[in-house]
Amino acid sequence: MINPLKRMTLRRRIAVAIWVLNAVLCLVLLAFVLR
Amino acid sequence: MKPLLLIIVYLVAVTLPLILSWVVGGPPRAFHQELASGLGILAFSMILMEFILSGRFKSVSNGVGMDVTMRFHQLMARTALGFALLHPFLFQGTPSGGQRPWDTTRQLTVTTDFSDLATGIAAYVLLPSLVLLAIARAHLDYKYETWRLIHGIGAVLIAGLLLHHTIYAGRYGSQPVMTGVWLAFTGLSVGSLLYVYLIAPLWQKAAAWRVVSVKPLAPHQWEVTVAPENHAGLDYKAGQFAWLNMGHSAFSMKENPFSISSAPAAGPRISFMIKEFGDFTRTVGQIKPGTPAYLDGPFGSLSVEGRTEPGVALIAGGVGIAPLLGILRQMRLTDDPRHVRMIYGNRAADQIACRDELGEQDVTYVLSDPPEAWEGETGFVDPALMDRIFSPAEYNEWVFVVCGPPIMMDIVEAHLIARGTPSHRILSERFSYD
Repeated sequence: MINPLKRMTLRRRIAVAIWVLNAVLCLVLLAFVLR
Repeated sequence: MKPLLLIIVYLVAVTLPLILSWVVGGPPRAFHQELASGLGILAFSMILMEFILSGRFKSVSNGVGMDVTMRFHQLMARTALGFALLHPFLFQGTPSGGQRPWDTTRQLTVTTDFSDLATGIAAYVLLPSLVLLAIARAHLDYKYETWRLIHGIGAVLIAGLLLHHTIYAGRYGSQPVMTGVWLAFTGLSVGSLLYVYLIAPLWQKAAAWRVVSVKPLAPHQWEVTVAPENHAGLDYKAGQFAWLNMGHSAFSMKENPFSISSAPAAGPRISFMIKEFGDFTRTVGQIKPGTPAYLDGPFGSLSVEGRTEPGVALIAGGVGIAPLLGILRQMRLTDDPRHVRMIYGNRAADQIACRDELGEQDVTYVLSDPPEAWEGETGFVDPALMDRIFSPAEYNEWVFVVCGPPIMMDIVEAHLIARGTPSHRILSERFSYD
């Protein structure tokens, strides 16, 4: 299976990485809030 | 450092204060209270990490590329801004002038001491201003150095204000362990500026350079060559760039990043190709040989050294030829066995730099405004031209190095992806990130 990231422009890959990072930060925040 | 490792390090650094607050903090309060505090904690740690993502630390930017570092810096700043702006509106509780004996863990009360909140309010006003000034930088009539000074001072001021606000108004930040953590984190982050503006210039002073020539290559394009003074020179790879300071103190902010157009194999002298564009570059032609110079570098990941692809495609637009010229020179000097093919686009024929040196074999010159007698390619570097130059096998197997105007780079990159070139074989660097 072709890695979809290899078919993305750099700008798109950066955007994906930022979205994933922000999602992880929100999950950590949620874990903190709901502890 | 590899990209994934850098992301992990970033995540750990940014979430550490939140996790430590969880460990050492008091019992959880209502949802809104915890969300408000959590957003504030995350925002502050992200703002402090922005100092490390300034693009001046090779261990960060050379691992992922300068484009990625600066885009990351921009976008995470906007996330931090969003978190920071939201956080005060989510607090719910009884307003309190200070800690109450019946609420030592601040379950029910929210501090409203103006002295504790004032620094937060000041940062609340300054932070969006800093971000907006950065977004609008290209449209403002400031000199680059002026903008940089404002940005740096603004960032330090915000960090100091937020430190005070966190320690004095924060439910978690006011606890001794967290106060220590925030002091250390802020000290490291703001201290990194000391490295950039004090320690690095001291090293540059000890390894000074001198301008040996300023040569016109084309109208409004110059080649500046510098030679090391009593040291071995710069250990760089063809295609990288450096911050160049000419005629100013090593501690001056009057430095700009330029791609290196020379090859390491050619010796210790380093050349830069500079196009007149802004307030500094318009004065390059007046710089005299013998002028002292300082270099901070090398930066950038636009290198084909050590790669195993059978061919190297160099696609340049305008002054984007600079790093690619360095790569081509290095390949020729070292008798690199890989195939190499270049596309070089310009508007007019007199803008073509180093044509005699580049030659005609495996080099395609493209002009968007050709003279009447022009027999070469016309128009822009576009997909149709690329399909005439590169075969399907070359799209799949070669490494493509692209540098030029952003619109050209967007078109080229999109077409390479469409033709099956995997992204790890597309190397690019642009100095504009929005």
